[in-house]
Amino acid sequence: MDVRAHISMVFHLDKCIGCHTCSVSCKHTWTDRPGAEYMWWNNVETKPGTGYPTLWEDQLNYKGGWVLDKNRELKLRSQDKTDFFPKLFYNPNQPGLDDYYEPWTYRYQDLFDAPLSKDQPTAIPVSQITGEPIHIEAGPNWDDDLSGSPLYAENDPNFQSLTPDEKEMLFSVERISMMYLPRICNHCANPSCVASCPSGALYKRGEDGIVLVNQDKCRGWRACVTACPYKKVYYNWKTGKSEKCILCYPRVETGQPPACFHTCVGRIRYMGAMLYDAERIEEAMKAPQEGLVEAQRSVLLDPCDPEVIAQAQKNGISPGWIESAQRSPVFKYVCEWKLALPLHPEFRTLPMLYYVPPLLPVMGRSESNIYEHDADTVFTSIDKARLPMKYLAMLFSAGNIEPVREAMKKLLAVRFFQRSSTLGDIEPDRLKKILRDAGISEAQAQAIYALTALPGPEDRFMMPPIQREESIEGTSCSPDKCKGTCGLGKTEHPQRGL
Amino acid sequence: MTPILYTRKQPSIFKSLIVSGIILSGYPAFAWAQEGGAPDKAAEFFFYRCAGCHTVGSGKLAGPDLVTAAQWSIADLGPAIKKMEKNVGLLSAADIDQMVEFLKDLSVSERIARQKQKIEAKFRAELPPPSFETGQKLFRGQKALLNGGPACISCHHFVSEGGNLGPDLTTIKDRASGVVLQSAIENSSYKIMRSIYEKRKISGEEALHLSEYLTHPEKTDTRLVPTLRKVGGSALGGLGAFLVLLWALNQGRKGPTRKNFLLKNLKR
Repeated sequence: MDVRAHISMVFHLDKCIGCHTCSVSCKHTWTDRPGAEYMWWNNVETKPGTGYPTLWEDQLNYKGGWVLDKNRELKLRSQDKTDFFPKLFYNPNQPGLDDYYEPWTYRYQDLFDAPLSKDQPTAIPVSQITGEPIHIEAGPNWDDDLSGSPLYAENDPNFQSLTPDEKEMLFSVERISMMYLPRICNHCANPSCVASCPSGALYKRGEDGIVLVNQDKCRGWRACVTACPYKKVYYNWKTGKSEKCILCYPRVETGQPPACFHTCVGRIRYMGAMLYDAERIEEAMKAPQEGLVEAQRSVLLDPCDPEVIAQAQKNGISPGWIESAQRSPVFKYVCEWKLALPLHPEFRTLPMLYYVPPLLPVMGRSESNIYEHDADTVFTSIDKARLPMKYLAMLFSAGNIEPVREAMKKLLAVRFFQRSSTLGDIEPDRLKKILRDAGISEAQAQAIYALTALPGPEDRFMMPPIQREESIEGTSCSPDKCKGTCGLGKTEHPQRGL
Repeated sequence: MTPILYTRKQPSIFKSLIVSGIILSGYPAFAWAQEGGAPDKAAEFFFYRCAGCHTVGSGKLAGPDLVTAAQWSIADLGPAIKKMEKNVGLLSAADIDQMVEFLKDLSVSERIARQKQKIEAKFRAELPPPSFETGQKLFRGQKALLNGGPACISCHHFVSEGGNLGPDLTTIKDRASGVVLQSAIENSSYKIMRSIYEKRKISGEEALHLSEYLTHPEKTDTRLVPTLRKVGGSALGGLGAFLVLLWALNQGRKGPTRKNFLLKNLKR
């Protein structure tokens, strides 16, 4: 057992209102500079939809993540030993700027400088790259709230397992539903971007698992852009280097949650320490597709297990971290309650960001078109949900419906539990049956409700004490030698651009 | 005449070659008897023991020219030869008598010349026939020198190629050829060459090939660079291979995702 610590995340999709506050706070903090305009380290997508960059989930096109080869060994989909070299110079699977959008602004000055005329002056859009007027064809949320759109929603890559009837039902008039999917870098435990980098510029921090691009080492080959299945590494056209979400490590190191977590209006975001077994990663990621969620859970360790604690201490994980992991809301959601699921585990990168699937559009179809349910048909309504279970399974459990249904049942059972406690209109026996069928106890239902609906910042963010200094001391770079540097080494301005 | 061949500067390889030749063939009598001429034992002895320091009529080396020995009396000459024991090891009375007779012989110069030819012939017989192509490769550095010395072309110019640190060797055959040139190469006893090749000697065989090459400037292919046709051919081939590679890489994808996506869906 090789116990490592990881700072891990849960997004509770039932609470996401799609307001993009997270994206805005991230943009203002990190990517509001030339070359980074089109980068959305945090973005919120409407599902069903094509996402950003367009159709990013279609790995037959973009070739991100890992696949099992014929010997059942993990292999990068984007490159192998034979073609990685030519692909440095020509990689057809790399997204181009067209697949994102050309960043633009408006000539606001024209509003003031326009000569007197009968027409209202306008601020025309200009490219932020060339400065020339452009015709805007795409933007960061181009398919925002466009569920039902025959162009965007119907072409969601996750629909491939749905029958045409199911698809039609999803988009039939007055039943259109959608959900929001906020995305940041998953800080995967088996990151394909790190594996693909020819310069060795990407690395995963030992003390907390944050995946970073060393700007001194990056040579802009962009292999990571192709290899990341979530398309969360971006190429800065101005500095010629790649950049990605840094999980606001300067904030995390000082005990604050990242900016997008902090500003989240719906309070959907949870952060906490996790312990995992690095030795098991490879084996777990070779699991058959249906078993990937379970395999991923098996990599995560119970931080209260004495043996795990002993091994963690042996590996130099501080008592502060272990304690933080024991109280982590992420552990509760992912392992204890099994409510939170990884996004697209079939990419086999072991993402450390988990999503609680949304129950909200579940009040779905019934024959009489009344969106209601009674206790008898409580769980069958899940299967008739407006967002089909198959669709959610494509997103969160590699097509296997079981883990999603399990989570949904629990979420619904918690609703009944709360309804019974506030309205008292459900018989105790029936409630017990519902809870038993969902596989949770009353105490758990209470805890799930508390952490979902009532949590304060101290509940949502169980920030572990960061030992950046201790970790640096362990390397050749002692704090007194590296004074005036940040975690990435010396701060230098890039040679090109800026 | 081969004046350089037996200077004191570089007798060692020749000597050892001769000595090893003598040892290998049991005694030269056997080997030379096969070649025809009767062995001149005194001349052999002279080359074996004396020629390192003395010549007869070819000037002073470490020791004096022995051409004057013919005028010495036998009584003086014998003890004088005996005195050389401290340089060449024990000399028997028979040896001394033989040398006295040799030096007093009026045809001593012819005998030495004959012996020299025999040695050269034998030396040549031991080496492979000189090869122009090998010499060319050695000169151009396409074939490395045995002891790792730098290729000649790095300093010398020959016909149409090479450096200009050393003298141009295009017309070297007019000044030296054959054994002279070969020896000059092998000994490398020129101001700059000496320091370069002292530790990384050019072997006798290499010198042989090089001298063959340097004496035939007219046979040299003056175009080191391939012909235009060849360049064009390989450039076309390379371009073709590159295009094939791009085509192969491009098989996984049919173009810019967003553009194709819009084209496909907006057509309906």
